[in-house]
Amino acid sequence: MAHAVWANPKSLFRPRTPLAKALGDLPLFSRLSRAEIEKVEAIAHIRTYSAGECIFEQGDPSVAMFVIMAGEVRIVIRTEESEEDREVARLGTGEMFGETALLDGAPRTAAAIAATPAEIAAIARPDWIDLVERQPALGVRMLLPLARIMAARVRALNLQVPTSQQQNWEQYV
Amino acid sequence: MNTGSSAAKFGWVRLTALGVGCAIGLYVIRDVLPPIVLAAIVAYVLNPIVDMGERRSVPRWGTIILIYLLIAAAAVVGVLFLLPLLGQQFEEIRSQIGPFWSQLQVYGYRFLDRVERWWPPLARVILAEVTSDALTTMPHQWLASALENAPAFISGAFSNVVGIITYFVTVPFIAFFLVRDGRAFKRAFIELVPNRYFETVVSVLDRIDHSVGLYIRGILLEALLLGTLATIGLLLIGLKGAILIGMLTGFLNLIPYVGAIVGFVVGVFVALATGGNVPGVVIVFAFSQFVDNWFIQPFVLSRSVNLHPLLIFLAVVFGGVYGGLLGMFLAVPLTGAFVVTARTIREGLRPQVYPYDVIAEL
Repeated sequence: MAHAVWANPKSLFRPRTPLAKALGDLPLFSRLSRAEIEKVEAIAHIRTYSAGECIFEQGDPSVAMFVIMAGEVRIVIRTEESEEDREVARLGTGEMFGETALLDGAPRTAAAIAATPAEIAAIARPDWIDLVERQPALGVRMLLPLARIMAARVRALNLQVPTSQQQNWEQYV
Repeated sequence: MNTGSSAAKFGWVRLTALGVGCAIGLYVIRDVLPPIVLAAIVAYVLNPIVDMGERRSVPRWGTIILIYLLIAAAAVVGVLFLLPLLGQQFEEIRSQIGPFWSQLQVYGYRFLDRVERWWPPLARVILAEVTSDALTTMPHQWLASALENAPAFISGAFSNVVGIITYFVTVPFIAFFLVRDGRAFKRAFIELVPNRYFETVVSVLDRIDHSVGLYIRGILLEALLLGTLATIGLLLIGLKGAILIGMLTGFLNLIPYVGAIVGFVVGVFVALATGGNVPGVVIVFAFSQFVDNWFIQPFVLSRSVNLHPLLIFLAVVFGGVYGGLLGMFLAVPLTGAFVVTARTIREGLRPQVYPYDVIAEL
C-alpha cells in the first residue's frame, strides 16, 4: 500500500470530494489509496434522478454499477403473477447496487427506482475494465474485494437452496 | 405512470435534439471536418501505444510527445535518405521507358498491318484512336509531367480547406488532445444523454469505439504489411524501382483492391521496360495476395468489418468527386466506421439473452 500513497503525494493535500468519500467508504474500493480513488472518480458519471424515475428496468442489459450519493432507491422485482412490484431492498446514501454489471452484461434481475430525488454516481463496465487494464495494480485491489463480495453471495445462496438441489446448483455456479 | 411516460417523452425529445444538434454541428464544421477526421484516425492509431505507456506509469502526454518526436525523426531520415533513393529509382525507370515504348509502338504498327490485311475498316478505327494525343504521348513524358504536377495535385487535394501546411500543424494538435482527453470528451457527451438511455449509450459508444479502432488500425497495418512484403519481394527478384513500387502498392492499398492492381500493373510494365523478371513480379504479387487473403486479413481484420466491393467502389468514387485525393483515402475508413457504427447500434439495441433459464430450471 505504501507505494500507492507515494505514487501521488499531492493527492494527500487535496480536499476529498463527496464522491471520493462515498467511494472510499465502500468495501469494493476500501483498499484503494486516495490517488487511486481519484482515478475511479474520474470514470464515474454523476446522474440526477427525480422521485419515481426508473434507474434501470428488470431485464435490461446491465452496463453500470451505481453508488447513491444522496437520496433513496427502491430495488423491486416485477412478477407476472401480481401487478404490485415486490420491494426487495431500500437503499440509502453511501450504498451501492448493480455491481455485478462490472463483470458481465447479464439482464438485470430486478428494477431500480429512485424513491426520492437522488444523486447517483454510475461506474460503467467498459470504463472500469479500461481502468483495470491501464492500471493493473489498482485493478487487483478492486477485483479481490469484488470477488469476496461475490463469494459471500454464493455462500448465502447456497444456504437458501435445499441440500437435495445443491449438487445440481453447484455445477452451474 | 404519467410521470414515467412524460419522462420517457422528455427523454426522446432530448435524444432527438442531441441527434439533430450533432447533424447541424457536423454541417457547420464541414469545411474543417477533414483535419478532424484525419486527427481521429491518428488518435485511433496512437491510443493503444499511449495506453501501453500509461500501464508503465508514463503520463499520456509524455508518450504522445515521444511518438511525435520519433515520427519527426523518421520524417527527417525519410527526407534525407529515402527521397533521394526514390528519386534515383524514378529516374532509372523513366530513362528506360522511352525506348521500351518506341519498341511497343513498332510492335503495334506491325500488328495494325496484319489487321489491315485482314479487316481494313477495323484498322482504320484503331488507327484513328492510336493517333489521338492520349496514346501517342510517351509514358516517360507523361510521367515527367505527372511528377511536375504532383505537388500541385496533392496540395490541391488539401487546399480547399486551409492549405497543406495547416494540416501538418492542426492534425497533430487535434490528435494530441483526442488521445490525451478522449475519455473526458466521451464523458461530457454522455452527460447529455437522458437517464433512461444512459447504459445503452455507454455500451453502444464503447462497442463503436472498439470496432472502429480495430478497423482503422487493421487497414493501416494491412497496407504497411503488404507494402513491406511487395518491397522485399521485388528487391529479391532485383526489379528496378522495387522500393518505389512497393511503397506505392502499400500506400494505394488503403483503397482496397487499388493497391494490388496498380502495383501489379506498374510492376509488370517496369519489368518489361527494364528487362526485369516478369514471372518474378507475377509470383511476388500472387504471393502477397495469398498472404493477404489467408494470413493478414483473417487475423488483422477478422474482428472488424468486411465491406462489399461495390460499396467500396462507390465510396471511393464519391470521396474522389467531393474530396479529391484526400477524399478517396478517407472514403473507405469513413464508410467502414459508418457501417461498424450502424451494426453496433443495431446489435446494442437488441435485447441480450443469457442462459439464465438453465439456472431457473433447477
